Amino acid sequence: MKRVDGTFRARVVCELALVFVLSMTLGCSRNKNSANRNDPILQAYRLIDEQRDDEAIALLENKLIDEPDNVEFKNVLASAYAHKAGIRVQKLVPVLTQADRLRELNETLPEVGMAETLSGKVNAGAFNMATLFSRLSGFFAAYAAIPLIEKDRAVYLRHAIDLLTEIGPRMKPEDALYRAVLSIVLFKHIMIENLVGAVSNSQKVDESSCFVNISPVNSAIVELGELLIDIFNDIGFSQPSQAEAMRRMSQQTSYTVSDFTVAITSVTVYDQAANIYLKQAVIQNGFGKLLKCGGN
Amino acid sequence: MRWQLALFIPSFFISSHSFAEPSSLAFSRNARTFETQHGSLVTKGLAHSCLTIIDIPDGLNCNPAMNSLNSKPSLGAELQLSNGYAAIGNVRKLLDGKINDELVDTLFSSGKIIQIEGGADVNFRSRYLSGQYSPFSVKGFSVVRNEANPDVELYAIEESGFTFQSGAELYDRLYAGLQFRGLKRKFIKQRTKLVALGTEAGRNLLKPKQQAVNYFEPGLTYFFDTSWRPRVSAFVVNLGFVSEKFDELDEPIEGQFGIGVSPPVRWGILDLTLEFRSMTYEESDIERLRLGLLYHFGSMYVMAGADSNGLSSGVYYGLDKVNAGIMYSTTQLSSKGESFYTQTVYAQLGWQI
Repeated sequence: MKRVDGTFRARVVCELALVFVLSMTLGCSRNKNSANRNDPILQAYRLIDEQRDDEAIALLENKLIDEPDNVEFKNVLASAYAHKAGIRVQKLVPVLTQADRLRELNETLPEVGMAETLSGKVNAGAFNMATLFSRLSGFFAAYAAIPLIEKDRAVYLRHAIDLLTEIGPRMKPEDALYRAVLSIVLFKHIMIENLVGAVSNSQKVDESSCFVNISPVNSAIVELGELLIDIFNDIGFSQPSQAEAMRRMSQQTSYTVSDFTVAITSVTVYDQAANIYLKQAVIQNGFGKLLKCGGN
Repeated sequence: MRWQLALFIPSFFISSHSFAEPSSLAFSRNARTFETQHGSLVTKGLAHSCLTIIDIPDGLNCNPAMNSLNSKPSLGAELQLSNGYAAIGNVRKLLDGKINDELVDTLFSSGKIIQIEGGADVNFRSRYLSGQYSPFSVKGFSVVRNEANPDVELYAIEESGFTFQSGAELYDRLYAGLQFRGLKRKFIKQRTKLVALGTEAGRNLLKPKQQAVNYFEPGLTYFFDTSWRPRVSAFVVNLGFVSEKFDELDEPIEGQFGIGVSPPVRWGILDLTLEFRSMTYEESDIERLRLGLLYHFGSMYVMAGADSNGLSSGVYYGLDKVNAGIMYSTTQLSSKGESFYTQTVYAQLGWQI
């Protein structure tokens, strides 16, 4: 082997290496890093994790204008709204694995008979509602890690649930479970703000009429009932082996809420009539000065 | 010309080509740890650009064709760990299927990124046959994004098995070799929504899968007869059988190529390598290019490497009975424009006779 040949070969190897690198550089210009950075989903994730919810929402809403049927965008947008409402799901993980708790719900509630008296129906309906809620509270206790949302943030939570609902038949089991989680948080919020709040407000006697208004209770019960039905359906979808039990629970909830609201409405009508009668009687018999309303 | 080449190649490697796949949740990850790649500290320091390296001091040669060039027989053991090793117990629990709420919460709590690698090897080397027994090699990675509805990317893999290699000079300066790898592995590799773990369909997402692989991997190297000792290598990997194929851990047959030179230096031995080989089998062609530098002086080895994943450098001392090394890698320059980057330190301690 001649020395001059060897030097020539070494040079050739170096030059070949350069050509190799150059051709690879020019031939393959795809830049995965920028692709990663420009992925709107990952961008939105980052904004959410950095507590920049409004920017994440704006980004995804703009993307949805171009691609209104993009399920992934809707999904992440829903999570951005949920985040804005104060939802942090990470602490929920241990609970999510305890699906056995769902079996505790699978018990039949007593039926409210058609022939019962009105007060009996109210009592039975109220008892069933109480039983239903207390059983659920045992289940919902599993979700205690989720903080209660602030009153003015509920609107974002409702919107997040609506966005997930828009996904429709393309929804995956995990999306349904996520919607169930959001619905449970909303349920807890309504229980505290609307139901308990409505009852406590109704205890404040209207000074002008001395009339106890219990209709907000009715609408809160209806809303809670609807939410419960959605929750059961979502859990049933995400846990097929529980689907039948969830369907029964959903049906029971529907009946119970219906019974209870019918009874409450009846009571309200009777109560209105009684109030009018009482007021007329008081005025006609000159006992107005004796009637005390709201402690005045 | 040589200076131009020297400047051009590193600038190319540290350009904005990051390894992170578009679908990956990770903005950056360990530059030298990959699911199915097993490498010693020196090979990691070289950015795995080691097919044309004649003497890997802390393990088997990357290319079995180099086996007959082993300078002296040896027997030794090496223990390697990366930073983040505290999570190694959790990763092993996950792979043993011992999943409970606490473990899931630890692995996927808010904003947590786990990256670890650890393993042990027993090596013997001779001119005719070399082998390695790896009682365990564990790698783990997990990242969680979107705290309102967490999206999780996770892999955990544990391997154990044997590697044997042998080689010979087939023709004048043409060397050939064959490597056999027989491994058993357990792994979990998933990207999923965290809430999916609460669905019936998602219950098995964290169930470890098992696989046995037997690969026969041939390699060739040709040396040019000059002062720089240029050589070219080719190596075919993943040629063989797997007990069960899994889409998420695909190891396609791959042809790897490398060029190496040893420019004469006043003291010691300097090796420069440029190679085309994949680590994840998901990179684009350009991302498979990697560059390595190994300087050997006495008992000291200094290594440096650059590829699309990042930069690495380290030092390794092979004393008479004991050897030790430390290596650092970063993705800071390859993640240009990113505020996220990963820095990893690997340490290795060994004993040999």
